Amino acid sequence: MDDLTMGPNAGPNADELAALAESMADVLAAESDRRKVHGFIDGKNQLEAQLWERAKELGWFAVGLPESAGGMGLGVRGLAVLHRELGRQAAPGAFISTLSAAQALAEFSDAAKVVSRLAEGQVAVCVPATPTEPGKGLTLSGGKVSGSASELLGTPSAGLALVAVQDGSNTAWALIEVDGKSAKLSERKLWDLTRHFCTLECTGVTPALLVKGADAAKLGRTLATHMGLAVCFDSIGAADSILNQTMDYMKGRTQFDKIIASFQALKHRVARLKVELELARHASSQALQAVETGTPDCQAIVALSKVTVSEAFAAIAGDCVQLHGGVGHTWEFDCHIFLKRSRLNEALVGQNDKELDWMAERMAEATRAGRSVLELPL
Amino acid sequence: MSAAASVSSGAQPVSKVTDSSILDKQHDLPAFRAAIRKWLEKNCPSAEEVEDMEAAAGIDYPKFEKYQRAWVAKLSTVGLSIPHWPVEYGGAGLSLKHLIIIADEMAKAGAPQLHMYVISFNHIPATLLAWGTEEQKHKYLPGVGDGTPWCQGFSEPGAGSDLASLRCKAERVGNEYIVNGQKIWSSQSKHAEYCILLTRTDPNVRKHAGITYLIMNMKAPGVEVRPIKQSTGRAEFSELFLTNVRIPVEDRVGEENKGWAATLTTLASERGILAFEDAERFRYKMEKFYQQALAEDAPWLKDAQRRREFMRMVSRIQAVRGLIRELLEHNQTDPDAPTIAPSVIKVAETSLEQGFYEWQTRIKGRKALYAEPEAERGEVPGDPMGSYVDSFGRTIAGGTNEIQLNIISERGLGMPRG
Repeated sequence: MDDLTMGPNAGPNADELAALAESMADVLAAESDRRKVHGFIDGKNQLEAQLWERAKELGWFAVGLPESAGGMGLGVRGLAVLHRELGRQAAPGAFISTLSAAQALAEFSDAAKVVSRLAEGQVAVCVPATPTEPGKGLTLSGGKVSGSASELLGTPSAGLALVAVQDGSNTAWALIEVDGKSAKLSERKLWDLTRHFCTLECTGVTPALLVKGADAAKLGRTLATHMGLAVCFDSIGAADSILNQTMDYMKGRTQFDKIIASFQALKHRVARLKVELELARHASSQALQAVETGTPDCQAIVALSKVTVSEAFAAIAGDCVQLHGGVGHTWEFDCHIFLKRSRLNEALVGQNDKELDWMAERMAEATRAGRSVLELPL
Repeated sequence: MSAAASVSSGAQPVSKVTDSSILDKQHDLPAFRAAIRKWLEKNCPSAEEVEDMEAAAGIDYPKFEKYQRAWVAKLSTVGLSIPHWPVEYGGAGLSLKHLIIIADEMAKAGAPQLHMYVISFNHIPATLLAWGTEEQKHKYLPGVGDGTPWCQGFSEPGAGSDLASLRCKAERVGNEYIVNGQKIWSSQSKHAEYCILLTRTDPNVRKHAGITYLIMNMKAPGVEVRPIKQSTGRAEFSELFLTNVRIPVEDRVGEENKGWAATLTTLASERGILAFEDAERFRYKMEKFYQQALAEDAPWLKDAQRRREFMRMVSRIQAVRGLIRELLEHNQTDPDAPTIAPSVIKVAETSLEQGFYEWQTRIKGRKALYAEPEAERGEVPGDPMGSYVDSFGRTIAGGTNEIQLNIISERGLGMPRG
């Protein structure tokens, strides 16, 4: 059963979500299968660009946006399904940055124009890997942005960058049109070959949109929340996928005249990974529900869930290498692709220790205010 | 989930109920919850009394039993002692939704847990409603509802995880079985009036095929109960030594040599609502501990590593509670579909609890190691070491966590048996 599209929390769009989930899973399984992903990381195909075009055709960029902004109105739950399926196939592309930026910008009415471009997938967006950090490197002066910012998640071919900039002693957010002249992106190579980190260099760029003051802090936090959810669901899909692959391998591999999946020492390890995955699945869906219902502590709950889920993914991906034995350590098998994806997921949004500290502050604050952060619906 | 829990009928307040203020509201769930809360405000024993009761568990049997019986008697006046049983057998016939609300309110109020009645209220109805004769149901169920404590005689010194290899012998002589053998890890059997007993009636067939399920009167001649002192110093379970114990044939559950099927029913009744209540109680325990730490500005809150460890456990308890809610939903919508969720929950929850008490013991440092009087309670915040030592009971009992991992990997993940 698909806990995102069925069951008590699926909501009024359950049928639409279920159909969407099925189509996303089918399309991605066919068009981002393991052979193609391997071809892509070896530079033998254009999978990233092809998937982006396919997602555009199928309207996936509109899934999470409200209907008033040209979206499908399926909200964060629709996006969760998409990220989970992208993670499952270790799909390449700037999906987390672009889709999260669109959600965050959709809350600003003067961003309507750009949001409608994003809803159609016309352009990809780079965003800071940690959007809650104050702007540094880029400065705002006389309405123009100059300087450089590194560790942007996205793609070097992105047409937009949504970045935190230093505005005197404050942080503002600027949406920069990347024109390749006064605003340039360059790539930093990552171990995870399915995603990109970029550096943005600006020389006197007038931002397409500037968000200041309390709104700026809100934008950073909203962006972090959407990225956090995206990382959770990407991790769930990916962890489920590599764990299933590993079990299949173990059921086919014979040593000492026995299927290695029958060895209790290995079976118990896999069962524990399954327990971790189940806990992570619930941490993700609680984060999703908290955002959907807008509970006062939802952003902190997302941050905490992201820690749990990304750590579970990293633990699962690591042990899946080991459970494969020698072949798990080869380029040809998929283990390393998921392992590298997991370590990047862990490092996205906040560093996990910082996220835990932030959740601790929020929990103390809520507790002092006589509120529990542990309420769950029955 | 017990079979009985899913039985819901017209639900007239049962005869022993003298105060129908709660059962009257059963068709309006928020009002039902409010009525329970209101009743608990007046009737729930104080935290000191509950602590006093827990302190007596496995140490002062009469005192513990008195507390347990008193609480059951009180609950029965409002129909909450056996709310899930069918009306026909003295219950209130309430649905799982009601049980969840009851368990939630009991956990929130810190009401006494009915340790002495786990078998009576859950395993007995589940088993007898599915497998018992009409005579057995009418003979035993009303008494159980009145607060007759039962125990379980399943495990043996040589049959733990491999339960079906049990050897306690029952020989049919006329209209009786003559039972000889030994049982172990029988929780609360010091208090029990009856025992559900697994015996070997045919040693010459496949081990699952020669088992007979009996009901044993604990006062029958030849039954000897010897408490086992646990690593906590308490003796909450016992060994049963059975010497020529006579059990009438009418006290056999199911057919001779076919007791294994009923055994599976009994074992399956352990999950669901009990896990829910445990996890909810644990959540309140963690939260209370945290609130107190915050009020006292406890040093660990400023120790980044310890604080982060705690936050990770907060995330885990939430996920465990989510898993349990999903299982309860599954039990309401698709109770017959196989699921490994109970095993996943058992491993996750008991490991988390053990980890939490271990962590508490660590942050308390050397002070945690004093076993002085107030520390005998085995409850946070008083005595993390006691809870830590006791937590091994939970990772071992009810099917060890290793057996649960076998179930997850074999039944859930399709990995072959070794």
